[in-house]
Amino acid sequence: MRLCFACKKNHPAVSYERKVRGGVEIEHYCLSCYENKFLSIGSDGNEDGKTYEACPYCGMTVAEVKKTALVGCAKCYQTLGLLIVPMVIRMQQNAADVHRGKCAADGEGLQRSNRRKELQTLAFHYKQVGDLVRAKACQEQMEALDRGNAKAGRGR
Amino acid sequence: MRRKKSELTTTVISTRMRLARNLQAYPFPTKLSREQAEEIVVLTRNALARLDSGWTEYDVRAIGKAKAMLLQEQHLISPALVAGRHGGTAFVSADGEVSVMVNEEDHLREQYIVSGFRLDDAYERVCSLDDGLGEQLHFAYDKKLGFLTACPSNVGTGLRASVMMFLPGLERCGGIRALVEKWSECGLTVRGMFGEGTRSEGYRYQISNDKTLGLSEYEILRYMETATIEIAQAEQVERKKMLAEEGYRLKDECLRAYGILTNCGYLRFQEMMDMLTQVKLGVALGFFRLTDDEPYALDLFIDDMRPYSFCVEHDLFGADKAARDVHRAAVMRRVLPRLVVRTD
Repeated sequence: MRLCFACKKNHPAVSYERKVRGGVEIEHYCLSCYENKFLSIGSDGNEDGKTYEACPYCGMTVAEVKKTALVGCAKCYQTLGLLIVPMVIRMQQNAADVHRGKCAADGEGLQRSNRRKELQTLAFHYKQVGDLVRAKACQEQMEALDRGNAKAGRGR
Repeated sequence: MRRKKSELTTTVISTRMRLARNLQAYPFPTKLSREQAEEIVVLTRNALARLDSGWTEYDVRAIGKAKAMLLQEQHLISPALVAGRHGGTAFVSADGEVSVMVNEEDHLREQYIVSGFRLDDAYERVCSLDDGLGEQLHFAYDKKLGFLTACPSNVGTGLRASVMMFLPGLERCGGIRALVEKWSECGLTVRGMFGEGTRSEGYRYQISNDKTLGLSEYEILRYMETATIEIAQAEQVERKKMLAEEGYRLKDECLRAYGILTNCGYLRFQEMMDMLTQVKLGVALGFFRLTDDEPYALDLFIDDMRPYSFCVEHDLFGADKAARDVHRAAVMRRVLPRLVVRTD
């Protein structure tokens, strides 16, 4: 079974294509290692000092962002940060600006709780329309979130 | 204060608040699959139903062009929602004032439009809806960047506050270009009446905040308030100049327009809009007065006379163009004299 290239423990979730002389090597990472290794807003990008050609989460490419001025997902703000953060600064007219307005439901616990509510709604919806496969998938994601909550609770 | 209020009544037509939100677990609409788009519609439907009853749902792909255009005329949906990839849906509140567009440029666009200059009322209403949705949905949010949006120009508060202004004085004296330049340097945008990329129609301009990051919602509203009052005052100065320099000619133009509208037998849409703009100008300059206490009655009537709104109201979708033009003239002859009368 393939394991994460970095931690050698978790299942890989993201593939990273590394250009090497004469070809491409593909490395597989779990999300945690991938984020630790390559991503964070305001960082200098990946270890090669280059930004990504495409967001590994949604597939949005640098060329598409440049063409449309739209990003593909919330994670693009990290994965394509080298491109998007300067866009934000340019559009918002001040490099020093940080958010000063209303806050979203904050904290990991509350965010998990809201995602759980979403999954609960979707599981119910899929059961109603007779799509039991998707209903089960939502149920499994809820259980995974619950396991995460229990773990976080023990950590505290 | 009374003077200021009256200046704003003849200058500001309506106020609109819009909040852009996305769900953390899904790609933004440009990268959304059909199934994911449908899931977002399900989640929004469910969240709205828990907050309030009476939401009407419109699937923009299913409602047909006429209904979509009608909602667009009523400013409840945008051209971008109609042109979107999939899952484009609008939820409209029971009173028809609040709408939530789903899968437009962002997953959710919550918006409220109200007649007159009511920045705080409008924000409170849309904010309370947003609070309710935020308790049930996991919004994409970053502590530094605020609410994450498909276009980086909306990150932060995701708030676009705008006022629709009637600016004949500034347009006729050529002051709009200077206005655009001045306020764009200060973080505001001046656009045509249907928003981004649209041109001005009937001296109507939309003023909105450009900057959404680094300012709180309260600061954005105060900034908009200051700008709107300043623009309204500049407009009043230009109107006075217009009256002093070409009062007789303007009065004649406005009275002729009123005369045609109240006596015509056949009225094309564009001709009607041009003439109604002259009548509205006549009200603003004091040649006419509104018979109703409702200061926005003429604006509401103009909205009702837009092509799709008019055809729905008068059941004219099957009628040919000539029949519609004859009917439009009849409605105009009947309604306009009840709404607007000469002051002399």
